[in-house]
Amino acid sequence: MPVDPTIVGPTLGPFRQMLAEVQCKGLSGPDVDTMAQVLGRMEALAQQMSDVTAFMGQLTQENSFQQFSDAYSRVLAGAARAAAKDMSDEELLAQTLGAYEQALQTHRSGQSGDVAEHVVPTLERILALGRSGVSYPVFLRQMEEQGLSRALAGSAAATRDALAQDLAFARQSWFPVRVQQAERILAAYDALVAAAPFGQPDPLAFELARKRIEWEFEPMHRRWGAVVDRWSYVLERLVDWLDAHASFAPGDERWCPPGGSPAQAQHNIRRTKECAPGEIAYRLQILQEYFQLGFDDVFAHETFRTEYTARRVHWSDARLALIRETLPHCTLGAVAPAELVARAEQLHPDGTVRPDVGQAPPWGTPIRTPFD
Amino acid sequence: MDARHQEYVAYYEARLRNVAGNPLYPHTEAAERALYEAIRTAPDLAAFRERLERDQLEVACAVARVRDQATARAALYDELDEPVRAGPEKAILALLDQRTFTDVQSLTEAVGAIEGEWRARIAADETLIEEFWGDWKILEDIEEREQAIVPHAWHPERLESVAKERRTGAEHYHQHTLPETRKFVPDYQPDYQALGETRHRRKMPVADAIIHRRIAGHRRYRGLD
Repeated sequence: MPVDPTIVGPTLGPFRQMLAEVQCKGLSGPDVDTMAQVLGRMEALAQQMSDVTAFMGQLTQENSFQQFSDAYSRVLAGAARAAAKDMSDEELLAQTLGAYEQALQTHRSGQSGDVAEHVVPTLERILALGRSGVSYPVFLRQMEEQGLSRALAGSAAATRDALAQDLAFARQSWFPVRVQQAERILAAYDALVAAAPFGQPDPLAFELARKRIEWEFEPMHRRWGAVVDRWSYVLERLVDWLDAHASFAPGDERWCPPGGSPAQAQHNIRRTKECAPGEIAYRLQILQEYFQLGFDDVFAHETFRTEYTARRVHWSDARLALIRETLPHCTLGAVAPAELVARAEQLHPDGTVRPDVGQAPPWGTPIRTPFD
Repeated sequence: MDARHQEYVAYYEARLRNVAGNPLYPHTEAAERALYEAIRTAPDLAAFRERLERDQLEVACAVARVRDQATARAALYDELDEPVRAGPEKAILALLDQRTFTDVQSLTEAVGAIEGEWRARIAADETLIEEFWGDWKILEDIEEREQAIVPHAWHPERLESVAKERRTGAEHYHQHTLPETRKFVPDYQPDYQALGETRHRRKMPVADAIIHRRIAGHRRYRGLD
């Protein structure tokens, strides 16, 4: 069975279009033959293979995309060279503007994805400049002096607007490490703009600055996520252990999955009551071993304080207090104190989760927790 | 010098100003300067075009730019101790030292071929660290079931679930993960030793002893030991 046509279509569609375009223009020669041959091979593989990943892997191994694109570029460059050989400056300008106009239409049609958002304004400025009555060399010079060449070269990587959006998104999402990273990248961009001869940052300099900053921040992203995952799990397990003692436990999905029998639910509840203390002790040991954090340290740690302020800690304040009080009682063979169980029952279900969970406050809201 | 000639001189001067004095572009600056001097000293535009063609000054600018870009990227990756990511940049520099280019298209194709080849190598190099770090939660779950202190009555159930987890992990690795990776990199072999190298090690924010324990656990989880 051939590879799914809904995958093959979008994958090979652009290549089919490029070959058709070249043939429509009446172009021919060995490079056009190469395009046809490579596309023919890709079409044949799509028919012979059934697995999408295997198909894409084979195309990658055979370097099909690159071979086709190289041949296509040679065909277009050859045609342009032949046409340009005896052209006047006016004809060269018209030809250049025609190519930019075509590119603009392609970007406007949405074929280039997110890049279009940044490229379209630059292309519009280039076309306005070219149509302002300037000569071809003046057009080329102003492309340099207005930073349009650089803007086009760097537009796939970034524009200031896009970087400012990244920062705004990081703040809105309350990821402090991402905020710091986005601030540094934006500052690097602005510094390069200030130093650039024509006010447009050098794409290579920005690429290097950005790579360095992202490299520096990557371990911090990973550490933050790893710490949060591990204390979150401890809090959840403490909730489970106490709730396993509550009257609502036999009907709760944690122990009684849909279709499960009452006997199965009782077995699961007993497992939580008897095993959770040892499991929580193991998880606390992990937290200490990995990050040198004890249980009480968690509530003063920057990750907890930030996650709480960002409203991603979904337990209510009353439940968090109960979690902290639960730990000393959660030992092997112990039974949860009746008073704590009663409070868990009282909170269940609506008082367990904070009402504003997931609704991050504005960035800059003071960091606080119920334990301050 | 007629007005049109002067306009072209101004254009090439603007190009030169874009890179002049920028330490990232020593070769580009030299090539752009040669181009600028060629038009500035040419008696007319026809003579300039002839020289442009004869001395391949535009090709020299393209080669110089590729050289400067690859040099800068290689230097950054060397400084960051990222030898695999530095690989394509060094391969491009070696290519420029070995081969003379007479047209920009050939240069673009040769550079594109190197970048394509190294994309697969870089992806293969980063596959294990991403899978390994992504599996830590499962490794901790397994360790918890084996090591947490619980009443004896629960031991058989817990050990059985660990055995099942490892069977599933090994099956998934040998029947799915490895064959899928090899569709793109046919000779792919996970190199656990490499996880200790800076580029991978820095992505795991815990002590060495923990990583060694997790590597042993991961190999077992995948049925490699």
